[in-house]
Amino acid sequence: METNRGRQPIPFRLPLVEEGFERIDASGEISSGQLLTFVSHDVYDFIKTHSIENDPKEVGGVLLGQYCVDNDTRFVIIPTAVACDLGSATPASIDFPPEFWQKVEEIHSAEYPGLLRLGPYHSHPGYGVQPSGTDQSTILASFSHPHHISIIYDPHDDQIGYTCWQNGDLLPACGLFVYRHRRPDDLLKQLMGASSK
Amino acid sequence: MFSRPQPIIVRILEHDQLLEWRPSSADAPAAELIDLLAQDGHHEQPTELVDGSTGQPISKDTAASALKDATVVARVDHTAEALQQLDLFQSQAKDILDFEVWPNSSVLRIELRYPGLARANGLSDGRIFLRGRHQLLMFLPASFPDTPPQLTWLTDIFHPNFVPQRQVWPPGFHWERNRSVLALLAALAETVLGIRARTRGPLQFFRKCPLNPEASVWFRRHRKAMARFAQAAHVPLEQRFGALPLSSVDAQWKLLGRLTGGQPLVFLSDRAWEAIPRMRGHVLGWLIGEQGLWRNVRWFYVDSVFPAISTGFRPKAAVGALIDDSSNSKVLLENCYDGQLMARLRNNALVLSVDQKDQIEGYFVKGYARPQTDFEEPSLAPKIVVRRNNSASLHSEDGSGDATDCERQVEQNPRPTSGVLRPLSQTPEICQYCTVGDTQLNDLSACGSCGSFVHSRCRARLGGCPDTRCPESPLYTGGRGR
Repeated sequence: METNRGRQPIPFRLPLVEEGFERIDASGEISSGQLLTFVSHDVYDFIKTHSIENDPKEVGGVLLGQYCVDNDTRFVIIPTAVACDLGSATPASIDFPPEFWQKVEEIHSAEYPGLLRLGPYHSHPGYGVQPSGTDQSTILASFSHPHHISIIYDPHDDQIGYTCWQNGDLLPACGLFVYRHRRPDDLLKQLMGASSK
Repeated sequence: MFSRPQPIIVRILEHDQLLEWRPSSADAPAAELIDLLAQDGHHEQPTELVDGSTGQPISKDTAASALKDATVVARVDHTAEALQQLDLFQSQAKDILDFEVWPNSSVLRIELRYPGLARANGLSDGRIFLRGRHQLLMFLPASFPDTPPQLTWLTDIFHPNFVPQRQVWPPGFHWERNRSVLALLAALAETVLGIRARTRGPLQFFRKCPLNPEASVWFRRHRKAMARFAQAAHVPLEQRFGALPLSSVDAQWKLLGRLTGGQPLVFLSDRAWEAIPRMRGHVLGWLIGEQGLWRNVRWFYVDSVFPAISTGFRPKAAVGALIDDSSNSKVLLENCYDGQLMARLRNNALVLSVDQKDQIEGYFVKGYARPQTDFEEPSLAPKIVVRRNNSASLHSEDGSGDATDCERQVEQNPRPTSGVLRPLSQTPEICQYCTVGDTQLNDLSACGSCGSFVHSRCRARLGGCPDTRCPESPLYTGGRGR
């Protein structure tokens, strides 16, 4: 698990001004003045497909990416994610068992060294994109640093949103950016390499 | 007994077309016909109905059964359209315009809160002050918009071409080229501000004499200071981010379309976004806002859209222009700098570009943005109501919670039954800019240099003291105020 509470964002160009990002859409309304979230369209499509295929059961996983800053604007870029296919799930809950975290550890260290575990994603079939009280007391309690986010997708309303932390408070869910990069492998290398500097 | 409604013949005046209206019931109001005409695309503008044989207006509440023998004529309600334009102007410049209209009347009282010049009230030394409240009447003749509105200036003003209680017209403004109340208001604002004035020089014997020759001389003498002041005071920017809006404040932004990394970023306030389709066909516009660079990428924030006259003044806060395919747009573009944001409507879609080159495929709109066709009708309700004590009030009857600071003070300190008149031998304790008197709840104070009273907010709006002979005035004339 990511435990470095003092993590500093890595200087990186904001995707909105970087020509490699050939297409950027927004899903939902973007809140300014907080951590912005840029999700690869591969991850975005996977979360949606994964959620719809398993409806009405919840699905979830962990988002891997980088915590960045450009001038004073903080943002995360999420090029990949690891889905949880272990443990139990119901229409109102999902369990991330220790075996899943073990699997994440193996994939993370073997394939994506340098990226951060930025937080969980999970589906809320039919009950919106705001985190529930259970979410806050369980999974979000483990991802409560300024660079952590949580993405929730409601397959019934086809709505996606993310929450993040600001001064110790969990902010309401808002929309996120979905990007397509001209050379996603190069971007991944840049993001993995950026953390080791 | 149930009776089937009879079909009613409707003539569309502008299109010279005959239609048949089958009301939903005999009691259906004439408003149903207006709605149907709007849905059918006969009129984008407000519609009024008149009796074809008598020319009398037909109320929207009139039942269809009462119209069975009439030929109903549907035509554009130009008075309502003018009111919509006033409402639109007000939405873009909230603190600059106020207006009211009396029901079933074509006369409007307009208040322009723009810095113009006026002689100080109650002072014998003839000092000239910057004054921020001006009133005029606008009369819309029956032949409007074929004939222009008639304007009568009401309040004190020191201007070469405007005098109180006389009919006035912005110099150099041609109605036939700009048949729009929005454009007329923009020209009036420029006139009040002093950047639209026709003066007479000492050797120009053959030109028409200005209405106020003294003001003409004053304006010529101080034209450079006037131009500098007008640049700063023309269109105030209500919201400023100072940096890329996405990183600045806590606001919600909806991305319309999609972005490509490295392209200019455009942010529109919701009121600017709503104004753009409403201005179409009426007037061009200046995009008022701010701009900056993020790395090497330009960003624009458009706070409002101010009506533009092609030959008029370019506001300092303009970051671009709303244009169309008319020749007026070409003239307006000559008044723009390089690297400006250009907005135009094509097939009801907003198209943005910088320097008319690269089209920007996506832009952000602040807050919840309503559909482009869904706008509120201007409030036509009269604002003057008679109260129990028979004095007029500018508030609604049920507006007990809306009492102004002045009203509250009056209620707490009722006037003595016998009045008192006292001579005014010194500067009156009213704000020389907005002409509102002091109350315990506002911030009127005397200028440290000249003693003129002015609210701190008015001083901030002006950037100094309203007395043009005061060294702290943005129009300081070196003591040569007369």
